Amino acid sequence: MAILAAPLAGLSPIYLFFSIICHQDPSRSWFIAGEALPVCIRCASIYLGFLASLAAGLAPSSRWLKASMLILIAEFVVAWLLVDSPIARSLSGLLLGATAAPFVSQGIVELLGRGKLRESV
Amino acid sequence: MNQCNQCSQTLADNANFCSNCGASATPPETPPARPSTAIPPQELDFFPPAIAGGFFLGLLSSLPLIQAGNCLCCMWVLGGGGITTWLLDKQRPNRLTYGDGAFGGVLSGLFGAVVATLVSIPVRLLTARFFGSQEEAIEEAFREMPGFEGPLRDLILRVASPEISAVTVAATFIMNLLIFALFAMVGGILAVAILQKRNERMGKLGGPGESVPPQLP
Repeated sequence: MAILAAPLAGLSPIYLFFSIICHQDPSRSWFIAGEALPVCIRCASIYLGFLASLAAGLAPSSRWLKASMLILIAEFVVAWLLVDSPIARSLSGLLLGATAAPFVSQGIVELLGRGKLRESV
Repeated sequence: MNQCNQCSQTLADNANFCSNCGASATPPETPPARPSTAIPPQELDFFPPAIAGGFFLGLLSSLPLIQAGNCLCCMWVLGGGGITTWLLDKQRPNRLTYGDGAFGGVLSGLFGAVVATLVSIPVRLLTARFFGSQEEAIEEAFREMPGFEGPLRDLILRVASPEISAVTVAATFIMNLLIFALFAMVGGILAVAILQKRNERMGKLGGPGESVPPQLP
């Protein structure tokens, strides 16, 4: 949400935060209202896929997770050596975000549960 | 007074045999207790794996040029979390929970932030010229953001400058800590998901990690 809000509201700190983890190259980013998003197409797709997966309540599948990781790596290599396609970047990012989200949310729930368990001991 | 084990006849204290049925008066040997076959889950030692993972991610994320690998989905940081989980998996194969992976990842992010901050000091000294140009580039970018004023703007400019002081080192550490802890946690969790299935395929003992309750460190 912050990624989408940053160009609309001109939230500079959001751009600065994401500059640590993304190259923020405008030629590799989506634009909203004439402003580039604070992350590149691949990163934005991962976050969108992540959010959509949480909203849809997808079940965790390690087979899909491994497949999506391989697809993203393959897409990165192909983009570097042969053809760099924004559509391929977004699709591979969406897939990785969607397949990773159920595992990450489960891990965070268990991590918070661990904190509660320690408090009760 | 003793009793016969066979016919319950009352026996004298010094009797070796039952006068009624002739059975031996010595008490039957009780079979030794069999050791329990259930192996309790091994207590995880999070620190060595987290230090190894943190060293990996902290070093690679702070070296010039090499740190650009983080532009691919925070590769080094995710990898550091993954290494931590991989080492934890050696302690308790196929018995890790996603919570274990998350906790190990957060710890490795913490150690990584310390390593990256320490490494960044000599790197700053050696690349002072580049830091100067980076500061100018950020200042240029800030000129296009007229609404962005105040102490945060000044702090960012100081962090981007070659200056080494308590403020810039602390700010670098806090930024590293936030990013590294978050992404190393994700790396740790995803590594549990990958290692779990691999261990099942290799036929290692133990059930899926989800069935094991979270263990305290």
